[in-house]
Amino acid sequence: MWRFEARLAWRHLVAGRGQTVLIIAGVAMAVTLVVFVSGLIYGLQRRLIDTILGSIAQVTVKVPEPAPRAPAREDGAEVIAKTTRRTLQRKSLEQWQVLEQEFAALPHVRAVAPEVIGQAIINSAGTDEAVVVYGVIPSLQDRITHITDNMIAGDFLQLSLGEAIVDYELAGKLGVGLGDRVRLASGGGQTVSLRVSGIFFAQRGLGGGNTVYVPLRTAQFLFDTGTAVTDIAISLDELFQANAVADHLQASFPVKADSWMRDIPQLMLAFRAQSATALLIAAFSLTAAGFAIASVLIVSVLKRSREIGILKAMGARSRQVLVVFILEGLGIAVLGSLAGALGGAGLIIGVRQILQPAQAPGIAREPLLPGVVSPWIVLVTVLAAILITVVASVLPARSAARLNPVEVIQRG
Amino acid sequence: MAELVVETHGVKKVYPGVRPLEVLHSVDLRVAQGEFVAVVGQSGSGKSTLLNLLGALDRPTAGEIIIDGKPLAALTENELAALRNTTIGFIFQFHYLLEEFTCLENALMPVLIGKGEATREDTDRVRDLLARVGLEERLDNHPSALSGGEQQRAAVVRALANQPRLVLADEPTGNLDSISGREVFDLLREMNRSAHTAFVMVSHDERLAFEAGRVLRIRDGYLTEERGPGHANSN
Repeated sequence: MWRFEARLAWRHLVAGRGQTVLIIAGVAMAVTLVVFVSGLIYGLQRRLIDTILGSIAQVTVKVPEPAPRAPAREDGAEVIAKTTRRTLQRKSLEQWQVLEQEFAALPHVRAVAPEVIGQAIINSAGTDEAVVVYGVIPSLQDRITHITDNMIAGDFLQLSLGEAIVDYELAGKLGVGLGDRVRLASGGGQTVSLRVSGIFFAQRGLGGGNTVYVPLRTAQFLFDTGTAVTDIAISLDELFQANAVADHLQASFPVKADSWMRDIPQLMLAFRAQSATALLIAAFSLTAAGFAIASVLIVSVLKRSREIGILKAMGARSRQVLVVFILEGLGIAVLGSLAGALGGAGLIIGVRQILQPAQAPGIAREPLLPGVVSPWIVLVTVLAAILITVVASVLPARSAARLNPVEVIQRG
Repeated sequence: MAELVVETHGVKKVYPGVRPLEVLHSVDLRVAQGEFVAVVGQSGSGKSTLLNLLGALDRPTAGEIIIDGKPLAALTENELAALRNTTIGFIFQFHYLLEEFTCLENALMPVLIGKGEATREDTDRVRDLLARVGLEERLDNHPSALSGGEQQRAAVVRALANQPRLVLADEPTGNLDSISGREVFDLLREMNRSAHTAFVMVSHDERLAFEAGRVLRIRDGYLTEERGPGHANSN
């Protein structure tokens, strides 16, 4: 099938030489642009997800906020109100071990970790800094905030009682290193003296800066929560399920559940804006390529109108002529988009070699432009380019198919 | 009388417009198998229109055209295309060979259009024809490498590639010098005799035309027999 048509289309392309090369290069450039820009935006989003969302919990569970208390008149009602108030005003989760297990069994939940979070003053050799203290179980916490990946010195997983892991910048401000002692004082008046067993680099994410990690028990003591915790951090296998999971938790358990999507709406907007930009660039460049192909084929049809007339006089059916020019467009599209896919992938890989300046000693330097060669992006772009080309070639191909042989032959 | 390849009854062609132009008035024509018919007349007399109608490239305003026993009015576009491909061969004033293809491929073009690919048998047959017209050394040349006479001879072979019953030639020598024109004309006559294919040739070169067996004249849209079929083999 279509042997004659394919042969003719191919000969047209070969005969076109410079023009064919130019138009294929045009398609290739459009596809390169789309693959590169989409891959770059996709990569930037992935990095944002990895560094920002990867270092925070996607869903955080807390005790519900106390409801505004209605003035109670009747005795019985007052008793209930008091009880309710006492329950609600507790700021910590008592039965967290039970909740933790139940949460872990829910769909999309990848990891669950209890946290005691509070504010404290850290002191070393006369220097004071306000810090956020995270009381954690290292093995569980590491599955959520990936501290191990960002350790400059020491081992996060080995964090034990009497030890603290401090942020790189904070350590600089306090002038402390591994083995030095620091003192933490909470607003409630408790103080602990701890040995610095590790220094980590808080990825430019949220919650970086003045952060100290201590064992859960230390924080429970410091903030007087007994055996309870203040938060349960949850990370998900699908980021954008956060709202659904949070809603489900809030409906099913007596807890308040926050989702990153609601906490950081700017991030969501940024993601959407970036994706829309990528789509727009893709749509415009591919459409431009489509127009270029259409114009080249229109010229080709005009140039060959007599030839088309002769072919029809020799018995070529209109459909055969249509197929010839669509195949011609298809040939341009396939060659151009394959070259463009290679070009785009090459460009992304090339640009990845340019690294960011080092952020902290021991932390791997990251590419300045972290583009990703996603097979999906490449595939979708190539298919879209081919589709657009075929659509672009239909119009000239149809006008070729409709040519009346008598008219074009007689025009001479 | 031999089997009829062309038969028309009251064929009329009117080009529509503000002042409709009636180019042909009630043409009745019969061409038998193997006949060689020359149609002469001044330019604009309707010669090419008649040829286009016989070649199923155009439809008449009125009247009936029967080619190889098939009434054209009853055929669909695709059936007409198939008829042009297998039953009819065309030769034009210009060779209209495709530059992207070699001489041999060009001559095989009707076969390629009809079947997608030429069989060994097709290729051998067309190669023989090309050799007979003196193009055996030119098989792999592209048209631009051929002389005007060679190009037109290749176009003649192309018209015969599918062994048609009827060849329609529109001023086949019109674009050639007198020597090449003579060669091509002699070739048409030879092919007519050996392939037993009917030829209808339109020409304004009356000297050449009268060497054909039968001459028809178109004047003001009317077809008249200038010299009857009886001369067909007198030559």
